[in-house]
Amino acid sequence: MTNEEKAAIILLSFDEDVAAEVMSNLRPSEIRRLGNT
Amino acid sequence: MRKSIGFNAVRGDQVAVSNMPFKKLPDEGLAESAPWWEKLLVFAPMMKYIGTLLILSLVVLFILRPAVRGLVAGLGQRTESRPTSRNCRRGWGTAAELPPLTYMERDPKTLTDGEMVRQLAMADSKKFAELLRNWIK
Repeated sequence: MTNEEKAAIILLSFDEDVAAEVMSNLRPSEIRRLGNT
Repeated sequence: MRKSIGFNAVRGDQVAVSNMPFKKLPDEGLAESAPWWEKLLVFAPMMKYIGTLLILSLVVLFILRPAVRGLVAGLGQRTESRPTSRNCRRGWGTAAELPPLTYMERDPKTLTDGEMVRQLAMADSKKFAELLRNWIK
């Protein structure tokens, strides 16, 4: 399992608002990378 | 027996053998009348074992247990401040690089890994995002 996959799983395990809060601090390219995993 | 008591038939002595029961004394009355400390003397041989056990329990409760707790707490603080190879392998960076936890709902010792991560994210989402960024580099 890659680090991207782990990060995506962690974000999915959060509540929607917490995940949104974290993702708002990530760059679009990083969010894309997480989304592609 | 006749010799021992100086029996003399000429004198008109007579020997009569009769059977009499022993008089029974009330035991319970005697036991109840004894003072309480005499009743405790029955347990005197056991007292040294009970005393030893009591002293051992007090030593464990008031000396050993707090000492062990202090040691465990000290070790916990030391490991928190030291970077662990597990953290480095996971990509979390060293403990010195991690942002300090500013918000915890519960005692961190009772939290699972997942809950701890969630608490971190809730406490400071910006720092958590930085952490994720370093992780996925």
